[in-house]
Amino acid sequence: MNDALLELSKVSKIYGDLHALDEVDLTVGRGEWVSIVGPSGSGKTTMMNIIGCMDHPTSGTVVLDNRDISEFSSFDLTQVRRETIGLIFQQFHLIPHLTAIENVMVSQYYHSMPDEQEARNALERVGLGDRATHLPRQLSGGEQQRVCVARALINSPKIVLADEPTGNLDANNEHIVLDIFGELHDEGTTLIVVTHDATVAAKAQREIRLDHGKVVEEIIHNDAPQVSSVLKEEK
Amino acid sequence: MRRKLFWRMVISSILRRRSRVLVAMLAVAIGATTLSGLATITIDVPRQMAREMRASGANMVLLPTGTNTSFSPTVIDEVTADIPRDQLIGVLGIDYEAVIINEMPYVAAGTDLNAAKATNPYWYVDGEWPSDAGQVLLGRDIATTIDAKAGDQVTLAVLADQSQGAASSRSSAQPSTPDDHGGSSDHSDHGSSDHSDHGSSDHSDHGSSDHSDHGSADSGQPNPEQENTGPAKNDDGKVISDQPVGNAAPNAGTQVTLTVSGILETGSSEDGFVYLWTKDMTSLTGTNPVVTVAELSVSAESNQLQELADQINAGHPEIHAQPVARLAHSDANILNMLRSLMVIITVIVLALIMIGVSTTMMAVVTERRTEIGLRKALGADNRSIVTEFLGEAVVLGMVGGIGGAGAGYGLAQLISLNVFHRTVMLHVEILLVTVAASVIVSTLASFIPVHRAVEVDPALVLRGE
Repeated sequence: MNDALLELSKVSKIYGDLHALDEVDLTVGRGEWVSIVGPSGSGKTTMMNIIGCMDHPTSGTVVLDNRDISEFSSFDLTQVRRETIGLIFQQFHLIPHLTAIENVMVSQYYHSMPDEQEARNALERVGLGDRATHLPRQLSGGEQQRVCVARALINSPKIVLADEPTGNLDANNEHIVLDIFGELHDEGTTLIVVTHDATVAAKAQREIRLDHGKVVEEIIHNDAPQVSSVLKEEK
Repeated sequence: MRRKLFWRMVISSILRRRSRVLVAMLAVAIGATTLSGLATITIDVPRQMAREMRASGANMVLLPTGTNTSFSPTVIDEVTADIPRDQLIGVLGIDYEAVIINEMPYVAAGTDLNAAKATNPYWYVDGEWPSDAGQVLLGRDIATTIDAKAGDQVTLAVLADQSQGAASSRSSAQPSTPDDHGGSSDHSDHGSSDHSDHGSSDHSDHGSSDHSDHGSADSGQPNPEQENTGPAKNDDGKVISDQPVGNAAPNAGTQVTLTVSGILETGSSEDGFVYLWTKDMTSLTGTNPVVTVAELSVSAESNQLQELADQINAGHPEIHAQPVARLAHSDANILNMLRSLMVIITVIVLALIMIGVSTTMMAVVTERRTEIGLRKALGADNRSIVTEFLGEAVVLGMVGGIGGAGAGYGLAQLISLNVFHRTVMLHVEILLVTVAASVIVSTLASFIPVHRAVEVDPALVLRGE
């Protein structure tokens, strides 16, 4: 089995004359924590869409969990997304008329079978066991983001994609969320985090800088958390 | 658990958009009210309408069969006993006889004038309806011809050949139970004596006149100048007297003098008739009461009326029951037109509901684009999205439909009470059909918005839209 969970080979996404991604090559190992940085319009979101199975590349191949998803239909991409990926958004995107626990269960609903106890455990893990029945508007920004993290984790995804996860959080909540990411990483969850925040980017093992649709820089952070022991044993 | 969460999502989504969904629900409820109300009225009111329309006159006649020119009033009792009480609006037995007034022949109708008034409420009478024997209702044409008005005295003489004809033809149709008006009155002596004195005297002159020449008979008022010697007929071509009124001559001895209480105006053949009480007619003819034509007003539609006529004909060979086609078809046409109108209104209302619901659902989809994108990003396939939106449409249709169906019954009740002064029945099947129709319509109306929903790109949640 290939140790790489994700492999992008010469992936391009072209809109008319605009090359949102231009022959990008990227490999992310299982259990790795990678951050993607770059200015607006650099292609971060386009890359996230392709990795997140929400868009097709114009050219190149995308292999996720040993499956080439480049030519998958929308229906198949939905299946892969449901089974493999957990998503965390900058704007949280919680369903406003559902409670925290129901928001977590929605992810279970589309994946398999809602389980209230599992959802409650996921909320307790992010420190929101006592806020399970609160509606999103009754939660702070940090709490909402933690619900979003619980929702992303509930189906035990192989890869977690986070788009500016701390972009709307204060320093304290940012710290809490990054701690949770650290725990996930320690448990062997693969993390890809898109961020503008240098602090957040520095938490990753590897930092990929995009500009004009190309990978222009790759930085290895030696002080970042190393690959989890579980992963090391597998290797 | 999955189903529970599904309905939790559907209900909470509806409750969260209360004001918007309330508008759509109200549209459905109004449509359901209209549908339920009109359906109730369409089903229940034609029966009421049929009764009301029966007030416009008789829709079935009973005529003697074979060579008989009349039949016994008891036959009417037997026939009406077989007709459901709530369907029988009125019945009128009439003895049409040719009479002479001022040496001119006319048709006299001897009947229960109270019943005639009840059966024909639209008849206009200038003056008063005759309240008792000795009073007569004169058709407008006759009144004009003889220059008579309410309060005047008129003398009716029986035709010379009629006394003989009546004596012979009615021998087989003697009533076993005399009419209430038949036994009394000071005219009886007069009538019977005249009848016996003159009944046979003129028979040789007129008794053999051509009764077979029915085909050339004209309708309406008898005219002394016409050459027609056939029996008198009314507007419907119905034979109302077998007497050859055209060239008849009076029997000077058989006559009664009556007071004109009112002048009858119907705009039809009745304007050429004299209406008198049965008692006066028996005085004039000198025989027991008989019926030459019976008119029935029955609350039934065209086909039901024909079935009833067939039933009467099978049970009473001495008479022939015949629906008055013109009226029966007219009733059916009016009811069909009303039904068509209600169907058209219902279709329009349902179309308007669809537009209302569709617009609201479209707005809901637009409002929820991000949420739909999120659900798809979380792994919802198109079928899940469609199911959720249609679930909302079903709830919307169900709640609106239940409320509207109940309100529709109330509306129908209100309309029926105010217009027909009767209540309508609660038809459970109408309520069920209304709720089902509401659910179907709101579901159909959601198809376009749902189609929009499944087209939402899940990537929009990553673009921060």
